[in-house]
Amino acid sequence: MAGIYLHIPFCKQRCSYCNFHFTTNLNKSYELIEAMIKELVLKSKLFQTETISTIYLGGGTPSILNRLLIEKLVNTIYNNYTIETQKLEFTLEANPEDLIEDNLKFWKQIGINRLSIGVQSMHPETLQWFNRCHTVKQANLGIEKSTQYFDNFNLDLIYGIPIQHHNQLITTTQQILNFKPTHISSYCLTIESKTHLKHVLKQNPQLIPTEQFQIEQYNIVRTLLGQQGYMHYEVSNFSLNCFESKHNSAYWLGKPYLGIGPSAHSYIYPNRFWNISHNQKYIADINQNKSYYQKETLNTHQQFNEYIMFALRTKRGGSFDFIEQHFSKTLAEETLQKLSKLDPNDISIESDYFRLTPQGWLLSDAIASDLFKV
Amino acid sequence: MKNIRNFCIIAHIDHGKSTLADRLLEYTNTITDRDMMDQVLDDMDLEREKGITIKSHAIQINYRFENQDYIFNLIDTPGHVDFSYEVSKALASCEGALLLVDASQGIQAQTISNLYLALDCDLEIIPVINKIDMDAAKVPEVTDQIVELIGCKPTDIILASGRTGIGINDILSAIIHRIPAPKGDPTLPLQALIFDSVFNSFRGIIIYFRIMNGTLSKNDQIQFVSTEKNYFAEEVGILKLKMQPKEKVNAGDVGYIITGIKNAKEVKVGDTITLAKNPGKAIDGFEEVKPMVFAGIFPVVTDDFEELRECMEKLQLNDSSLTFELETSQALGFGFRCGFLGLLHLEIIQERLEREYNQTVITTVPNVSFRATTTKQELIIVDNPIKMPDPVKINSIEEPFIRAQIITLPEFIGNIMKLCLAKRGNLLNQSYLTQTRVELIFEMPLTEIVFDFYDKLKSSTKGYASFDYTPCGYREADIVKMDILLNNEKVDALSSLIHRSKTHEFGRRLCEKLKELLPKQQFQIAIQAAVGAKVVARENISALRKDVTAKCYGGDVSRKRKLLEKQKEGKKRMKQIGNIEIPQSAFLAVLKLD
Repeated sequence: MAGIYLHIPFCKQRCSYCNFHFTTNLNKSYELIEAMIKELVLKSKLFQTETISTIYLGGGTPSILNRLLIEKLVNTIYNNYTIETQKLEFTLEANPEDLIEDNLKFWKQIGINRLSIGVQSMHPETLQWFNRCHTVKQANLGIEKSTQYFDNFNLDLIYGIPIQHHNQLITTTQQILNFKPTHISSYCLTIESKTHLKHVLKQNPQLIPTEQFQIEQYNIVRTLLGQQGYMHYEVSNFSLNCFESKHNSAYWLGKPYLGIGPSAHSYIYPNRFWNISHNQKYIADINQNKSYYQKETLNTHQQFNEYIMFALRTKRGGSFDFIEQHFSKTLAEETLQKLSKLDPNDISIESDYFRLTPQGWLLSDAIASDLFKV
Repeated sequence: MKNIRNFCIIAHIDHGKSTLADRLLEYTNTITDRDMMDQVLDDMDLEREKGITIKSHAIQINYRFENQDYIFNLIDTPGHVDFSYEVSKALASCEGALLLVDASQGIQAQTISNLYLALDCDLEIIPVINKIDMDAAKVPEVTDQIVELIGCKPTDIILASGRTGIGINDILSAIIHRIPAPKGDPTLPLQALIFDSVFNSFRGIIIYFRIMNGTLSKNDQIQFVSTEKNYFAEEVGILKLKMQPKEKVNAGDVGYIITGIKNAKEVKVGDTITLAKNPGKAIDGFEEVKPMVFAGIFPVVTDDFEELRECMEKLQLNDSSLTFELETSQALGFGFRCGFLGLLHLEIIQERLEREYNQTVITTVPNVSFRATTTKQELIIVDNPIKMPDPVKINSIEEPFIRAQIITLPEFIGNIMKLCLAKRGNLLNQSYLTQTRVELIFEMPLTEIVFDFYDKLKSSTKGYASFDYTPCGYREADIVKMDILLNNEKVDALSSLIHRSKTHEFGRRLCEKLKELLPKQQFQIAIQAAVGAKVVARENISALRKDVTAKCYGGDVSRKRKLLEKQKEGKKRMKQIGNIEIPQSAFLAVLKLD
């Protein structure tokens, strides 16, 4: 079981909260995809014994990419990797305005079977404030259309937004639920450095969302989704039964994956690699056979830390047995001892397993770093 | 002997002493341009940065003038209030002093107190106005100040610029004509005044001295008068840019001696070196230097204690005024209770530990040394909050007082009065040194200047005040121990000894600062300041409720892991009191109260 992530670093415009790596200039898209194709071929050697069970086209906004280029990319995967055809989860990230009939048909035709749609909000002022490309109307039309081709799709939602009050969040969430998606990713608004949002909030500090406000909204989303049968299986992810994102779950299970494209990360035990975050340099380095990535080899402590980090974000949780077998008995005992001291409302420890409760997830980072070994 | 001139330079920080010294060395060809490093005499990194000479040094200059060969010994002096005893010994080794005053700044408090020390030693004063080439130079005004201060004639004052070399030749000739040659009898029993010592890792302690009477030769069996200990003179010599060994050093001259002593504590500034077989008498004025300010120094990581001990011992080898003894704190583990000459000395030690010895340390609330008399009439020296006896067993407590001298501009008198009265000061005298320069004399408790006096003085006078002090005995005072409690657990390292009238204000400020410095934790934290069982101030830190990143996908893993690992590193450096993690900065909170 292994995954491939393709990073398509293009967007029409920059959303105010986004600090991801991308460009709005599509001129070089052909050269870039060519370079990614080369990378796919190069890296296929690493995965000769692996079967690909998930492919994820992310970004950026892969849905704006020329169909021909997508097809070339996808064919390269099919021609160079062993694919688990029956159970393959093949996701494409799409923006609502790109959800038009021709695109949807084409994506389905080349094997994509899951969409992840960047709705973010159904509150018009919020979409504007975020500098999103789409309108509420476009979202409604696009998602409606998608359901004719795809029954498995995710809708992205952002909460904790200063201008989207509780009742607006409730409306947004209900509207999203009306589409009956199989999966909902709901992200707490994070104010990243070097974003327009950061700048705006610096000018208007009264708008900076409080911890209390964001916690309340977290609980609103959780409750509404829970009522409709969605399982909260990771800090920011909900799904109907059996519709967890296989691709993302693989990250948290420590499965190997290849990241293709500028700034993409790969993991093949015990190494992590990350590609250069610069489109032109990436293209040039790939074409000149120069090194286009950096690498780190995880030591035992770092492996343990990652295990803890994931275990404390997922419903699956972690296992003391696993820690004992892969690391040491002392570490398993130490972990148990530290976790036992937590507020019982934040954690459940049942025989060999430990998992944070949805309330505990709010402190996931603090608890994780307490358990870390450095 | 008639061609020897021993002198020093009295100047305020930044008035150009080091530059002038460089120029004297250059004009007398003592050093060439090539080995001319700026400010030759200040050779510790820290000294250069702080712009002050911490340890005094000496250098011998040969100068041919009107067909005669002269020997000048220039003795450098430290320039801060904490080191006034060392200054007095350096002065006692001279017959004359250059009184150096910045042409734009005028006379400062410290210059005056050092000048008084020099006059006490009967030194011939040569007034020099420096930096006369600067635009802001106010030569007539500064001339008036000097004339009024030392009663000289305006024509006695040399106008100079260390930067451009103006007046340097006049200074050289004044040294010859105006400073008397040393008196002293080479045939009398040896009396050499120790005015400084330095530690050299190969040679041990190098002692600097001035011979008053007698002769000191290589291979002599010498004795220190105060300790009556004997040593063998392995090497004696004079101080050029480097040490220059000699067979002997004669009365009137300045030199060094190496005896193989490894510990600076055995060598006391102000002590007299004599010969074991024919001992001379002690030179007047010897005192044991006593620390004035005390604080705990602890390793941040408890395991580093042994390493810190080694470093403290090494530091003490070349700084005998540093005292320390073992201290155990519940909060901080093993460390040292240290005595310092003053706050600057404390800062210097802390910085040297960090820079030269690569130690990360926590310094606790500094305090002075109080004297408590118990109901059983026992005298207890309280130089550490933990030594404070139970209040019911205390009959009385005394605190050290100082005589503070502040020189400022008339427009700031009001602000200074306000500040000093708030600090429990008492104005003794106010006098105009010149029309634009006022001297204020206060009596104040030393403990009040330990915390934030300098900064406040500076801000309330826009920097136009200079300050100096001398201890003037003990007075009875209502001193109490104030504790800080975090979730009802006492943090011993944050306890302080303060005057009862200050507990509410100080307690409130300390709690507020701690609230700012303590990170939120997964539970609420109550911060309390208490005197005995009585809580005088309180603050709460609410529990951390949200600490989670929204996304953790394939590309986020490494960055996120590293971020959390960094946080973990930070937590490891914190001190755990009960279940509360306290960052190092919190222990310094008290030093940073606004």
